[in-house]
Amino acid sequence: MKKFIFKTNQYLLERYPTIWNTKLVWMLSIAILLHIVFFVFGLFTLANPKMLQERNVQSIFFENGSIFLSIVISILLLVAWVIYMFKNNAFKNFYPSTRLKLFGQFISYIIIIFSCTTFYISYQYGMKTQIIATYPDEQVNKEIEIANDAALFLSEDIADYTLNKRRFPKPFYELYCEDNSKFIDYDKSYLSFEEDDYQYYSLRTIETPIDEPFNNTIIEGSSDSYQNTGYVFNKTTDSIRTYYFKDSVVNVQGLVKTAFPSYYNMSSTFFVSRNDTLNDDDDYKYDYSYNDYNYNDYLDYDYNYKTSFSLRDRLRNKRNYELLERNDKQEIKQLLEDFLKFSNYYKIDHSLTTVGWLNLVYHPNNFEVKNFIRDEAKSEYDYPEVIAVDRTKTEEFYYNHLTDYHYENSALRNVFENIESIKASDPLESIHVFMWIAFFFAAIIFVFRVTGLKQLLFSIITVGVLTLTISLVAALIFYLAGNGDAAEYFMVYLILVIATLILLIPIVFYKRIKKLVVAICLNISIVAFPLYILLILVIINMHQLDACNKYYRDINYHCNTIFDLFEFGWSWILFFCGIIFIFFYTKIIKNWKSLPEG
Amino acid sequence: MSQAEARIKEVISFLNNKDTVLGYRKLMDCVIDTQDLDLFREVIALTDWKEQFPEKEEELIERSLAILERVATIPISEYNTKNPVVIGSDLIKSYGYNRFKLGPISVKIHKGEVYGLVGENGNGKTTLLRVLAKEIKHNEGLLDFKFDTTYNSEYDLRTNLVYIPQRTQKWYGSLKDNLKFVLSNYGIPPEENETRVLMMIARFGLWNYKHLKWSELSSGYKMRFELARTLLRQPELLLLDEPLANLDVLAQQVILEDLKSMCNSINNPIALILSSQQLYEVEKISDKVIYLKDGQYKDNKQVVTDEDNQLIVEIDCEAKRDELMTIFENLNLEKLIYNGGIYVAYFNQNTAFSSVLESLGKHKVDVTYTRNITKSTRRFFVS
Repeated sequence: MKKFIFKTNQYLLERYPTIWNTKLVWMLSIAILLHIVFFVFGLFTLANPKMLQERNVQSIFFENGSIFLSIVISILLLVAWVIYMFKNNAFKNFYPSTRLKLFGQFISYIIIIFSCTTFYISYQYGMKTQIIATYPDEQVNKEIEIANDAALFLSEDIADYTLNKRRFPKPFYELYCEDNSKFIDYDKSYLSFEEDDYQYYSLRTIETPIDEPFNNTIIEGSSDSYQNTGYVFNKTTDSIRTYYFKDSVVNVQGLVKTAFPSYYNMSSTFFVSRNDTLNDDDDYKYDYSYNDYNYNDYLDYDYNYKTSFSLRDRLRNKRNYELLERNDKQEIKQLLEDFLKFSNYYKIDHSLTTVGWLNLVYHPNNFEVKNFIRDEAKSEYDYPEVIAVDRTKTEEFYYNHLTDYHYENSALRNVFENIESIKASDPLESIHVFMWIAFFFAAIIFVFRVTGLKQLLFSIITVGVLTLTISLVAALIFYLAGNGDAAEYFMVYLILVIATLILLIPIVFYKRIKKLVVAICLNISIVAFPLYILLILVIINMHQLDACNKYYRDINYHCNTIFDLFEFGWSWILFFCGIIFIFFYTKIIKNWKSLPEG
Repeated sequence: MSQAEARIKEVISFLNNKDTVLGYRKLMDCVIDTQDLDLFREVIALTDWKEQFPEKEEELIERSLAILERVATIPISEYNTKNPVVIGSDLIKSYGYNRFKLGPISVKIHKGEVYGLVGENGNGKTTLLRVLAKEIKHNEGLLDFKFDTTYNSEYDLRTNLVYIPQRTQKWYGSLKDNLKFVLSNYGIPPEENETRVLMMIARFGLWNYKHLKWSELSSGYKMRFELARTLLRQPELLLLDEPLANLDVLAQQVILEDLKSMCNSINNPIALILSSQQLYEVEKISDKVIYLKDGQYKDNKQVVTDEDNQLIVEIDCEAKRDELMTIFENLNLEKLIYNGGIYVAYFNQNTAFSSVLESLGKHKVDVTYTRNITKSTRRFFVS
């Protein structure tokens, strides 16, 4: 091994002195090895399905100590690398050096630093690979389907089973169920369970063209009276925005067999998969203002927003309805059994058995909910959250029917959520952070290698002093001129002028100025050129925003600026600008190096 | 007889007279000038053998002569050293108003010549060297480099001139790797790299030191490694600031000899300027001595013609002043100065140094040291 290392080193030394000096081959080999190690760590992190029950397992890297390990390894690697590399410096000794050689050095630094700091990415890929291999899409999709069907019988939240949740069959999905006693017209037909009352309304509509701004007076009536217009929600299509309002009471007593909580009413979906193609949200792009009454009158009222006018709820309810209508005990039993089977596989905490569960929920007569299941195990010291005397009648009903069975539904939901989000994740998304770390660190090392420690330290001091001076000037300007646009423009242009001067000194005036001063400007230019481009972009952006705002005046109007042109692509553009700049700048660096002092 | 032939003849006579150490060094110079890598390898093998069997002198001489025979068959073109590589005219460097000012100085430096730069501390030796090395700016005058290699930028120019400051930098890592790194940066083909490095190591007598670390070397060997590195770069101009500092007398002699012979290479000479306090040693090998006093420049030949051609002798002895005065009565003594340790006697230009020695001998004066410094810049130091 020792012989092999020696031979390789001699080979590189005789042929590629820069690569030998930067230790590129060794650093990359070590980094690749460590990437494999981190990949394997990633593979085993989620081997136990119980790990998937936590929320947001995708970022477990930051919680289980891996980040600490990764940072320590990165630091050790880079420090050792720097120590070895600093042993030789051809440029400092005036050995012949082409521009390409200098540039090659810088690129080597970037590659080495990047490869030694990005173990996170390999770890994430390890995790992703394991999840993809262990939980194939087909299997998980099937499980989600079963879970969504079986969730009908989970019987954990009474609110899922009350009458106001009913969206099927027709006409329920066309009606609005008012469950707020303040707005119920008790002179007309309504249903009631315990102290809750339900009254169904038909809906009337008002349509406006889409390009007309959102009009609050349609919803609120004339702005001074705050009258209740009975607004429910709005819906937008390509050309028209439709506002829906409560119209007249509809008698549904003939359609509803019982006002008791019933499985027929269950219309919520247990887990919406990322692969779900039901384009439910698109129709309701601007539907966040459901049932926007004049709440000012009822501020002390805990009012429930209704989000149930979605196609998804209707379809879910339909599927549940059809299952119950089929009333096939064996089918339901099979469903529960399948559900418990993969629940056990995922090690979900529960105490259900297929038969026991079936007995709890299977009441073919109206499928009323007669037993409730806990969403976590009953603790030894089980004190109900709400003390008995404060309970509403509905709550009383719930507690009276609560069994000791439990099923931790949030755990299963997290499992699905985690599996899908990890599968959909792109570990390379974080590449921007790492590439900029690599760029700046490489630039600083490069600067140190070509100009020296003294020059680097003076550059840091200069940047500090400049920053302080500019902030003081800014404070003064803003104090004198107020927070106006003029002051802002003055400041950004002042920074631009200073930056341009710093950039020009090593290129144009290098022969006339002290070598140390040129070195400081040179160092700042190398490290901060991408920031210079960014500054120019910010200035362009400011001008565009101002021009746009003058034209549109509407604060909410989103003005497209130069940043919207490439969005995150700008990061890449700036990065390559910085690198290309250094390539061309190598000539200036060589000029500086050969300058005599004093 | 060509220079090469003369040199080979000289080496043969060294070897025949059993001046093996010197002869072997000169042999390597001859080999280096051939630039023949096969010969390089042979010398390297011989050096390795020589270090293993230092007692087999006869065989070494025999094998060395065999190599010389082959060297003689390789033609060596002579480098024309007539044109100067550096021309400085009226160079002035001043460190601000009313402070130290160097110059005006005009110099022409040729390849194959050794220039000794002497003077007391603070008289501008380092400043002049650094100006010539383009390390610092000069305020006035022209400095022109006429190197053989064409260069496109100032940086490339500076790859052909090497300035070694008084305090050399520490080397890190393997010494040999450092030397190889130089050659690969200078674009030497990979298969020649090892050979050339070993040749240079052999030439500077570093064979047994090549595996050591920098911190394990003595100052003398550090300087030798530094010179080996420098000469591998084949600079056209070499500027050394006090290369002899911290070295013992023997090491000083060896290094100066080595420098001289490397500079005097027949086909690849180097222009060398070195500054030093070791007057005698420097004067001995220098083709020209530049004496700096208060930033002003005098070269020895010029000085001697300018002033009276007195005979100036340094004498260190137990005798009293009066005693010496009587001894030198008949030798036209003009001035006798005692500076605390040494007498400096100024005689008329017609007096011969040998008659001074004769007088001292006759009177049985116990002389520990004496030297004719008429033509030496030492006269400026002692007066």
